[in-house]
Formats: sequence, C-alpha cells, structure tokens
Amino acid sequence: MKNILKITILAFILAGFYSCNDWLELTPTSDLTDKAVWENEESADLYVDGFYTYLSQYGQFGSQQFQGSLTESLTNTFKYGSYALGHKAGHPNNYVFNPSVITSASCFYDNWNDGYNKIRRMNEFLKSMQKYSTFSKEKNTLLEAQIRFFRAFMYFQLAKRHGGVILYTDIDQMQKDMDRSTEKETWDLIESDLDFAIANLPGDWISTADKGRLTKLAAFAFKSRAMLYAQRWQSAYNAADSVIQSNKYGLVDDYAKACTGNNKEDILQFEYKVLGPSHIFDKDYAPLSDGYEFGGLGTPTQEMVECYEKADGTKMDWSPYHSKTATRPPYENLEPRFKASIIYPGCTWKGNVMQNSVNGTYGSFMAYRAQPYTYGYTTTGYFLRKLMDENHKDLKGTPSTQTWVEIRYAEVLLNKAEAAYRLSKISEAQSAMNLVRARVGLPAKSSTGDDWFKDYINERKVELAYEGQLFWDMRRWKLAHIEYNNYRCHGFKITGDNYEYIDVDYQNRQFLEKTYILPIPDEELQNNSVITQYDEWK
Amino acid sequence: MKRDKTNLLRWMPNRWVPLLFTFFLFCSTSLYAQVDVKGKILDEKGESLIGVSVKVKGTTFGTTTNGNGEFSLRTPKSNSILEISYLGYQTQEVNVQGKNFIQITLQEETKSLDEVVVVAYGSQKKTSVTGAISTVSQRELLKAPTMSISNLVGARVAGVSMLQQSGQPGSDAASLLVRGQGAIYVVDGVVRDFNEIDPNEIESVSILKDATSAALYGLNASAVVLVTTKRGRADKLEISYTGSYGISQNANQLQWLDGPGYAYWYNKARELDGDATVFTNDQVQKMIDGKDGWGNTDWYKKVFGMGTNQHHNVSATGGNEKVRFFGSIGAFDQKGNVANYNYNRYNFRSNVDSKISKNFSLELGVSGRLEKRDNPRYSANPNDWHNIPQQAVRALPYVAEKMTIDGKEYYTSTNTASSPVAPLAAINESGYARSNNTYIQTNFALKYDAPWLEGLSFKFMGAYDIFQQFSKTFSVPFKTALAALPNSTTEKISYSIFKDNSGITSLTESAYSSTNAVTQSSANFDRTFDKHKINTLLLVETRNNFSNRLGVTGYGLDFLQLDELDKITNKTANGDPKYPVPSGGSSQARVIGLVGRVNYEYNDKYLAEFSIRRDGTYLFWGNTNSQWINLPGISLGWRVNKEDWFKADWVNNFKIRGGVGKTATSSVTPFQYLNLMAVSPNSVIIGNSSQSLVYTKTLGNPNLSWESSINYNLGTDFSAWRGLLGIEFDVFYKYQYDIPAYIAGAYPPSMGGYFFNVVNKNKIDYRGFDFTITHDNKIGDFQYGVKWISSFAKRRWLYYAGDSPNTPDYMKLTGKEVGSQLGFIAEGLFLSQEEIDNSPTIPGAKVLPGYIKYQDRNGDGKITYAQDMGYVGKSAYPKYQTSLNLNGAWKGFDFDILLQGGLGRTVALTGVYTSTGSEGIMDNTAFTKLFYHGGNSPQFLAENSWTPENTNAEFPRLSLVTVSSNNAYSSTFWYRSGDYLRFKTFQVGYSLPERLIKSWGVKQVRFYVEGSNIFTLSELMKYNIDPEQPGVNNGYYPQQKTFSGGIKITL
Repeated sequence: MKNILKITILAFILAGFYSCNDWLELTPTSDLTDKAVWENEESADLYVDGFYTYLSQYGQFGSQQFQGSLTESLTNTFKYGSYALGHKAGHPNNYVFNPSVITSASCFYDNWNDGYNKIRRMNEFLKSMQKYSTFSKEKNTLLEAQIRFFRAFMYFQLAKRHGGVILYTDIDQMQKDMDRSTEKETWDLIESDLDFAIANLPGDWISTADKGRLTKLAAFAFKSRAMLYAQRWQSAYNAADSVIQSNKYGLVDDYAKACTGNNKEDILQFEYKVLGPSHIFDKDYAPLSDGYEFGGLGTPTQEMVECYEKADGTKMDWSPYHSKTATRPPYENLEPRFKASIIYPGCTWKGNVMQNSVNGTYGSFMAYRAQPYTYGYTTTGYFLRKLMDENHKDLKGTPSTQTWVEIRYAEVLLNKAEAAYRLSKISEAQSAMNLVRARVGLPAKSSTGDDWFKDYINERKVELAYEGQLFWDMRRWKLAHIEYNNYRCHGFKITGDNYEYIDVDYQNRQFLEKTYILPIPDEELQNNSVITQYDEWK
Repeated sequence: MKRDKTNLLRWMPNRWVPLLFTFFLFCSTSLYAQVDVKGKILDEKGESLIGVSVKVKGTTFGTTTNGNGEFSLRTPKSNSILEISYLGYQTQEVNVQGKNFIQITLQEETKSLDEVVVVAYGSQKKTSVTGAISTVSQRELLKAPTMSISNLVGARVAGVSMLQQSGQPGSDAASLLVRGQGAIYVVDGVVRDFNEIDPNEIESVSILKDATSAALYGLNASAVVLVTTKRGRADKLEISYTGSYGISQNANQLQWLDGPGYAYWYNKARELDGDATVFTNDQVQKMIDGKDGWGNTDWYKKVFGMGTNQHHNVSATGGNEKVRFFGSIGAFDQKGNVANYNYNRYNFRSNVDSKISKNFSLELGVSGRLEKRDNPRYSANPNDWHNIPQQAVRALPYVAEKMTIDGKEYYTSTNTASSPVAPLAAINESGYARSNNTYIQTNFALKYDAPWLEGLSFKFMGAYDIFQQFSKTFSVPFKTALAALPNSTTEKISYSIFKDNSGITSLTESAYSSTNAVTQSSANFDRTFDKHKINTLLLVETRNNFSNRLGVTGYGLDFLQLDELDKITNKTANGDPKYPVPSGGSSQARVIGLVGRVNYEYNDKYLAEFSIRRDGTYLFWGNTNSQWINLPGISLGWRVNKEDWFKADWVNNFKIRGGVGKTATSSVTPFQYLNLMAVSPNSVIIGNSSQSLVYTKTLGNPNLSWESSINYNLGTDFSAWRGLLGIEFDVFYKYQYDIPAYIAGAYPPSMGGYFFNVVNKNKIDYRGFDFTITHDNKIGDFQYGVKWISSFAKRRWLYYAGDSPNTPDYMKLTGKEVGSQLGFIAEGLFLSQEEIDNSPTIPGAKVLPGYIKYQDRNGDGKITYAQDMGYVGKSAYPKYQTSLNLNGAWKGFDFDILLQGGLGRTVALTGVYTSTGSEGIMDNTAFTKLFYHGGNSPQFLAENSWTPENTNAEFPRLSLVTVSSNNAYSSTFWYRSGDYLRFKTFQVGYSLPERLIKSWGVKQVRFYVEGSNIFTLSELMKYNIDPEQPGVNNGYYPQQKTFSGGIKITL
C-alpha cells in the first residue's frame, strides 16, 4: 500500500514534468497566420481585395484626405457651418482663417503616417507572396499588378502633398534612418508602378466574381491624372489618349448620373452596400428636413454658384444680387450641372420644394456662429446635391450606399485637354474639353492660350465639382496662393422673398504659399536621423 | 449531526434552533449548589495583578481583583468554571470543584506572536515569517461591508495604495497598487477575483508584498492578495445572522448653472466674443415662471438622488474531531442613487473538512455567486458616448422637464454637438443592459500524512471554476420632446418629437463562459530536530483556462413586452431589412509552475527561507529561450529578543528580516510570435458581393520575453509592553526590467507604424517604505486601539524606449515618475493683446486676452506640442497614502473610525482619454470649457472665468468661440493637487448585555450604524469635485457616501 502510493505520487509528478512542453503549445483560435492566407487562391484574393478599400478611404466618402472634411472647404466653394472645433465642423474653417495652424506637429490633410502604413502593408504582401505563394506565375503577376497600382496610388497621395518622399518598394529595405528621394524619383516610382500595372492588368476580367477589380484602362486613366501632377505632359497625354482610343468609355447623357457609377462613364469605382461596407455621406450633408438633426455640416458657397454659366454659355450678371435687398436670382437659367450639383432655393429635393430660408420648413437658414453647430441648417442658402442620394430616405436607420467613382471618363477628357494644352496641341485640347461641355448642351469654347486655360480651370472646377479635385488642382497649378488669399465667402440669407447677400465668414480666408509642400511631421524628424525638413519649413 | 453535513444549508435554520435551545436548557439545569471561592492572581514574576476580571463562565457573575490581586466570589454551582482574563495575558479557566482558595499565575499573552499567517501554499507562524506580509483581520473586514472589499484592503493595509473612480453599483471597486504594482488575487489557493465575496465568508486576507513571499505564485505575482475563507471549528458551534440596510448619495454633489444663470453667462460670453446676445429678460422671466416651453430644470439633481442598499448573511460553523464545516449564505442588494442602476448578489459558500482516516484528510469547498447588474441601456462608463452622467451634465437647464405634444407627455431633450440628450428619458425609457454572472468555484484537496516518515505529507488540490455570463441589452427607441434652440426672438420654445436610436429597436443577447482548472500536487516535509526546524515544499501547479463567447444582435420588434430574439422582425423603423449580427470567439490559456521551498529555523532565533518557482506559459511558447523562467528568492530573519544577551523584558518581539527575490509578469497578448492576419467581414465589394477584408495585424516577434524584477526588502517587527506599542516597518527597492515597450513612437512613421511594436526594453524602479504602528490598551472598562499605517512608493522610469534620442529631456519619461502626465507648463493667463504679441503662441491657434499662456520650453519662439510639452504632472495614484484607524469598546459599546489620506498625486481637470483606441488623446471637459459640447457648465467655471472685469481669474476667458484649441491642451493650468483626506468609514455598535439575551437562548445581539465617505478634505472640494474623479471626466458615476444600520445575532 505504502509503496503503491509512493510510486503513484512520484509518477504523477514526473508525468507532470514530462508533458509540460507539449501542453503549453496552443494554436490561436481567433486569428489567421500569414501562411494560411497563401494556401489557396481565394484567400489570396481576399488579401488583395483589402487594398481596394484605399479607394474608399481616400475618396469623398472616406476620411483620409482631410480627416473626413471635404477638401473643397479649403477652397472658395464650400463652407462648414460650425465654429466649434472638430472635423467636418470648425477645423476646416480654422484652416482657412489661420493657415499657420499647419505645422510639422500637425496637419489634418497630411497623410504621412497613413500613407506609409499602407505602403508597408503592400510591400509586406509582395514579400509574403514571394515567400509562400505556390500559384502560377500568371496569378502572382496579376496579384502584383494590383498591388503596384495601389502602391502608386498611395505614393501619389504622398507626392501631391510633399513632393519628394521616402521610397520603399521592399519590406527588407525598411530602416529607421532613411533619406527622402527627390520629387523626380518619387514620380518615377509612381510612373513605373503604374506602367507595371498597365502592362499586366487585364483589359477585362472574365469572371463576374472579379467585377470591380482594376483594369488596364483604369490604370491608364489614373496615370493620366498622376502625370498632370508630375507635369509629365506627354505621359499624361498618352495615358489619357489610350483610354479615349479604346472606345470603351463615354459620357452619359445626363450629368446627374455621371457620378453615380455603374455606367459607361465610370472607369474605377468603389461600391457600398447596407450590409457593409457603407458610409454616412448623406447624414453629414443633408438638410434638416431630410429627417436628421445633425446634418448640413457644410454647404456650397455663392462663389461656387457664380462659376456656373447660363445654359446658353454666357455668364450671368450677379451684381444686382450682391445687395441686402435683392430678390431671388433666376437660378433656372443656369446650366444643368448647377441643378445637378446644388440644392438651391426653389428646386425640388426629395419631393419638396426647398426654401433654404430663415424658418424655412424645407431647408432652413441659420447664420454662421449663431449656434456652435449647424444642426441641419445652411449658413449659405444652399445645400450640397452632388454625391447625395436623393432616394435615401431613412438617414438615421440606414447607412449610405451610393457608389464612389474614383475616375470617370469626363476627367480623362479634361486630363487629355490639359496635357494637350501644355504640349501646345491647342485644337486637341479644345475638342477634348468641348466634348465635356457638349454633354450638358453648352457651346464649344474656342479660346486659346491663357484664355483657354482660364476657361479650362472653370470647366474642370464645374465639371468635377465636389469630387475632391479642386483643392489639389489649385495647388498643383500654384494658383491657390493667388486666388485664396484675403477673401471671404458669401451666401444668401433668405427671409420671405428677400435675398440678402451675406458674408458667411466674418473674417478673411488665407492660404500660405509654403503649404504647397507640407512639412515632414515631427515624429519622422525626431526618429529618422538622416531626413531633413523641406526648405520651406526649416 | 455529522451525517447531515452535506445537507447543512438546507436544514440549517429550522433544525438548529431547537437543538441548541435544548442544549442550553440542559446546561443551566444541571446543578444548583453554590460555592464561595477566594483567590489570588499573580503574574509570571509572582507579582499580584490588580483589576483582573474573574467571571463564572457562561454567566454574568463576576468580580475583579483588588489592590493585592485578591478576589472572592460566590459561584452558582459547585463545579462552576472561572474565567480569568486580563489584557495582555492569556485567559485561563479553572474548575472550582473542591477548591475554596485558588492561586493562579497568568501567562503573558503571546497570542499576537502565535498568530498564524497565510503564506503562499501554506501558513506560517507570524514570528517565523521572513518576508513582508501584511494582514487584514476579520474584525476589520466587517467594518464596512457595503463597500467592495478592495476599498477596505486599499485603506487598511500598509504598502497598498488605492484609487476608486466610480460609485456605480456593482462597479465600485477600487483599483489597488501594492508597492506601486498591480497584484494578483488568490482565493483559497487559486487565482480568482475577490471583490464580490461576502466579507462574512472571509477568514483572513494576507498581502504578500515582497518577492520572497509572492514569487511562488509565478506569472504576474509581483504582489499577491491572499484571501482565505472560513472553515469550520470543532470547538465552536454557532449560527449568525447579519443584516443591514442603508442609503447612499453622491459623496460630492456638483453645482451646475440653472436656467437664468445659463442665460446670463451664455449672453455674457457671446458679448465678449463680439456676437449678439441670445437670451432676453423676458425669456429669463419665462424660465422662472415655466411658461411657453421654458423652464428651469436641475437635471443633475434629478438624475442623482438617493440610493439604498441592504445586506443579509447567515453563516454557521461547527463540527467535531472528524468533520468540520462552515456554511454561509448572503444576499446583497444595491439600488443606485441613479434610478434603474441596480446590483444584487447572492453568495454561498460551504467548506467541509474531514479526517477520513488516521492518515488521510479531505477538504471540500464549494462556493458560488450570482450577480445581477441591471442598468439602463445608456451606461455610466465615462468612456462611453452619452453615458448618463454625461447627459446630466450636457442637458440644458432652461427647458421644462416634460412637454406635452399632441396630448402625450414626453421628457424633453436638448441638442448637443452631435445628438440630443435627455438624461431622465435615457434612465427610464431607453431599455436596459443587464448581465447575470454565475460563478461556481470548487476546491478539492486530499492530504496524506505519510506514516513511514514523520513530518512527510502529500497533498493534491484540484480546483475547477466555472464562470458564466449572460447579458441582454434592449434598446428601445424612446421618444422625447426635442427643444429647438432658441434665439433672441424666440417667444416660445418649439418642441418636436425626436426618436432615439434612429427609431430602431434592437436586442442583443450574449453569453460568455470560462472555465479554469487548476491542479496543485505537492509534497511537504515538516519536522523539528532538536533546535533545527525544517519545512520543505515541492509542488507542481497547472492552470488551464478556456473561454467561449457567443452573441447576436437582432433588429425590430412588434411588441416591446416580448423582448425575445425569436420575435425580432429584421426591420428598421421604416421597414427596410436589417439582419441580425452574430458574434463569437474563444480562447485558451495555460501555465505550469514548479515550486520548491525550504524553511529553516534554528532555536527559534535564526530564520531562513529559500524558494524557487519555475514557470512556463503558453504566451511565450513560440519565443526562443523564454518559454520558461526561474524565480528564486531567499530571505533571512533574526529574532533579536531571543538572544541571551537581550535583556529588555519590556520588548515582547523584535525581529529583523530581509530578503531578495525575483518576480515576473507579462502583459503581452497571446501569439505575438506568429505573423497574424486580421479579418474584417463585409468591408469591400468585388464581384457584386461584400467580402471580408484580410490584412496584416501583427508581425511575429520571436524575441518577446517576460518582464522581470529583482526585489529587495528589509523590515522589522517590534512589539513592546504587551501591545502598548507595535511596529512593523519595511523598506523596499524593486528593479523591474525587460518591460515590454511600445516603441512605435521611437520609430519614424515611414516605417509603417507597426514594425515590431513591442520589445522587452523598459526599466522601472520602485522604492519606498511602509509601516504599521499600533497601540492597544485598556483603561478600566474602556478598551481601545489605534492603528496608523503609511505607505510610500515612488515609481520611476529608469529607461523608457518611447523616448526618442532627439527629444528634449523634459519630454522624456526616463527619470520621471511612472504615471506622469504630459502637458505644457502654463504661465497663467494672457492679460493683454500686447502681452500676446510679445509672447510665443501656438501657430494658428487664435489667442485672446484671458487665454492660457504657455512656457516656450525649447525657446524657438513658438509653442508646439512636439517641442514644448513635458511630463509635468504626477500620477493619479497617491505616492504617499496613510490612514488612521481608531477603535474601541466600552461595556457593550464599540466603535471603529477610519481616516484615509493620499498625498503626492495630480488630478487633471482636462485629462487624457484612457479607453482603447483613444488612449492619450487630450480633450476639454465640462470642467475646462464653458458650454462644452453645447452643454451646460458648472457654476464655479462660469463664475471664475476671465472677463475684462475679472482679470485675476482662476479660469480662462469666458467664451463660446472655440475656433482656437489653445486652452484644450493638457497643461499645468488644469492640474490640481489631488491630496486628500477622507473620513472613510465609521462604525458604532452596541451589544445587548449577555444577561438580557441569555434568556432568549442567544449568544450575541449587536446593533450598529456605519457610514462611508462621510466627508473629504481636498483642494478640489471648493468646486465639489471628488479628488478621485477619473482622468477625463465627461461624466462618471460619482463616489458614494453611505449610511447604514445593521444587526448581528449569534445563536
């Protein structure tokens, strides 16, 4: 008995020691390992699909361009109604009243951190593909082509803010101390990544399961945009022309449908669904009468309204309306793009005739600074219509699902026009731009030289209004510091029949020339001993 | 009796009483002969003792000795037993049978010296202890039973500092630091939480403060709070009932602007901003009159009223040589001072010990706890958006409490920056968030005393704990009357119906279960050879934990009464489909520890202990060289007063002890050695269908390891004059290294932000002392005690990997206190535009007179976050904590008072968020920004704001314009000293005289009243802000002041 017991106890203890090691080995039950992703093509596809969300994050429904605020609020076309600090609230106003708030410590439209995070993920993808993929070479190339496009897309976002940045194309290159490359080298990388994508992406994906993936022409179209920023006019011209010559795309007849996706104008888009992914754009900008108490965060300005030509192509004389006691301007005379982009007093929105007036039932006005927040009121007399979903009724209960169109054919035409102009192919420039005008029934422009370029600027501003392009265009044209200094935005305070032309800013807006290049963030400078700040910010 | 032990709880109340009654009856009727007894009481030196109590046992007959130490007494029976007691001496009993003169020598009390202390995997005589161990006595444990035990331990033990940041029923535990570090909690040998244990179940609490005592528990045991529950006693058979009932309210009630006050300050702020005023005199009159939708509602007062709590416990103990038992059932019910915040709890515990045979003994313990938390759907968690205290703060005061729209009455709501708030509707109509927790904890231990070798024993202990949580959250889209924000022409405030939660009814049910299986197999050898006493322990411990969770949220219900998932309609308010969202997951954790310990004692004089634990954990399975860690410890003791040359008789105990040991903790998350991917469903649409997003989450880090510390402790135990003076004093130093450091901040963002985020690099040291000084005495019938404890712990970063070499020293944490707060140094308020023009300011941030002026620490002519912030605020935990306990008894009366103070801490009025995902973000709070987030403001802030008339103001410019964030930054301007002194608890009791209750067959009846958080002294009290408020206070459930009365009956 004694011995049995002794032996049992000893055996028990020894068994405990021996089995320890195996016993401690557990496998995770709630996470995948990176290796598992490469076990079949379907999961590798899921991995690559994740990078498509960058289109959404950097689009108007996402929050990476300016922390959720529309960059139009940094131009003269859009006004956030709140003076309480916050994104989609007082921050954009602060940025135009006190642009010196932009420092190496903080800039809300910088994306240095996010950009490099995403670039790292993409380089990591390429590395793990090398390491684990057992797929065919063709499959690997297809995956790589998609990654290279998005890597160019992210470097483009960095380059348009900073010019020359640190370049990483391989995860193993990463190191703490790394100098930035020149602006030229940066654009070279973007161009070569896009060329790889163009060379290796299919013209069309055969399977419907691949619908929505990048195509060769999408890469061309994006290249036409990027190369304008790079001022590589010939590259831009060629890329745009490749899209046009393919005859795969065209302009839809109704401008109001140009941005809704899933049509012949749509070259690259990101879709949403109620189940997800989804966004909240309607909630943010809807008038109070749409049934949400905290919308109307920002509204179009009178300055934007005055950019629209009349339907016959002439300019409207707005001077009679720049008074305290004006009457309703004849909005109906303006061209179709105005009506498709802006909710103006007297138009119909969601079945109601909008008033946009003091105490209006459908659209009501509240002066800037009357309350800290907008609460669905307009401070300019207008609301945004473009990108809004008129069929979306239950704003509070259902998320927004309108498609984000990253690149549409009209932009490619304009890109070609601009590139052609720079290459002194004025007639090609004219005809490309006039195609865009013809769609909305406007007469052709036959101006030349600087006059044509002025017309082009307005055309691009109007055609691509509120699509996230204007602010960046004005920066690359180096016009922002000329156009956007010492001015105020305006709107109408409508009381009954009286239209009072009002200052909606109460102070001048400013633009600092040095912000054409955003500073390298302090975190980078502090931890990277070889990089130096841009001269403008030293 | 013993046969029924397993059914004890069932039959206890109804069958015990008659049994006991018979027993008493028998005793009191046995013999009647009376005897006169005389005697003399002497001490060990033969000197007579004066005032010694001589009592006939079981009666109230008694006397005291005279000036010669003599007494005479008539006993009721010839075989009566005399009970002789004297403070500082052991009580003796003498049978008078056949004696008429008795001389008795009383032995000096060495009870406190014989006291046994629970240590890791065993117990030790207090005099033999060589580590730093503090205990909380049972008496102290029962002094504030309405609070969670952490509050009690936190205030009554030297070396422990506490922070209680919430008064919410069921969530009001204090977080404790033992010598600057978090502790693990071990209940009956197993790592378990202890906050919600009924204090009546606890026998003792030991706090193992240094490495040599704590390290044997392995992973995370830098300090251990050891809780031992009561077990049966063979010599004592009794049943007790304890019951109490009390009320609670906010310890400090904040004062907010009323309607007219709001109008006044709001107008004034707009005037100063250069905007037109909003509120007119007529409107203010209407607020006072309550006309036209105007009102004057004190939302804060309506939300925070009075709460109640009650507590009942019945416990029984008894047994014989073979079987002993302890059983307890308790019920605790708390109704918060915010309506619908309720908590209740049922505890039961049954501990049975049995000696099966000569060599085998068995211990069984089963305990359980049912907890129910029932809250409104809106929480009181300061990190939650629109938590109810936040709504109470944000709701505007100038509206009526309720409004009638179309014949139906609704609570009113008012707008804030984002969505309307309606505190009362949120409390009463928003639905509920309930959770039911069930804990079943079992211990089974079999001990075998080896007959073949004296002193050798084996023990197997197994514990199997089950925790089940079932939660149900029901969101009811209640309607409120939303007030339109008025302007200067508003005659009548217009109200419209606002539907909360977008009008969607949603129902979430979730279940979580976890099981924890622990085994401990040990061999023990305990024997004395002449003057050598040896005790050795070998033990293997395994801990295995599994958990599973599962939940689903469904939308739409036709009948709110049928709040069940099978009735959901999958619809939003306007009929669009909305499908249920399921969730689930599981996890597992395993730890193994091998323990060895040797205690050696020579001649009761020289003490030594050597111990080691080898611990292995699944956390480091894939890491090279760190799967296992060895944690050795050694400590020595010297009982100086046992030396022959030590002549001071008045010293009862004088021991010097010291030790050094290693402990290890780990805060790494599991599986960090693998490259892991995250999966997020429905995030991208390709091929017309929503697809999961797969992305890289962690990069496998093969180099992670344990964080370790080397701990040194030196202490002394001293007692003299039989309790008149007792001192325990310890100094310690801990060097902690290999602490996981989040080094993302030390990498440039161009590295992508998640490149090997964690390395074992940080170093902290802790130094400090703690002491307990006691004084117990008796003057006549008045017996009293004083206990003063103090703890000082200073935590300092020796190395902080987040410090970049390029940042200035004041921005580095290295060398600074752990928990330091980051901020600017404020230099007061700007007084003039001229001063502003000549001072550095934050680029782009507009500055006006009355705004905060910051010090340009790097002298570059501008104020920047990255360059001029520094670690300038102290931690929120007190560096120095002290408390004073006074207790006493006189005849039937007794009292206990506890004062507690914390020094060396900072409270930031504008603080830094702590919730996951927004850690470190600074923000304004209602205490720092007027009309913050479109809500109301505290009176003190408005009244003490800077205005051109009040330039010597405590707070910045009275302003609504928030285009400048200048004042929102964390800075010394918003730091206040958090030093405080609290009247923490009191208890006053009265026990009915024995002669009165004897006839009822009752041993003890005691009535008591008690209270907690009675008052607080602190700099913040002038604003009625509690010094323990959380860092960012955007509404939290305030600490409670409680009063209750209770009764204890023992049969």
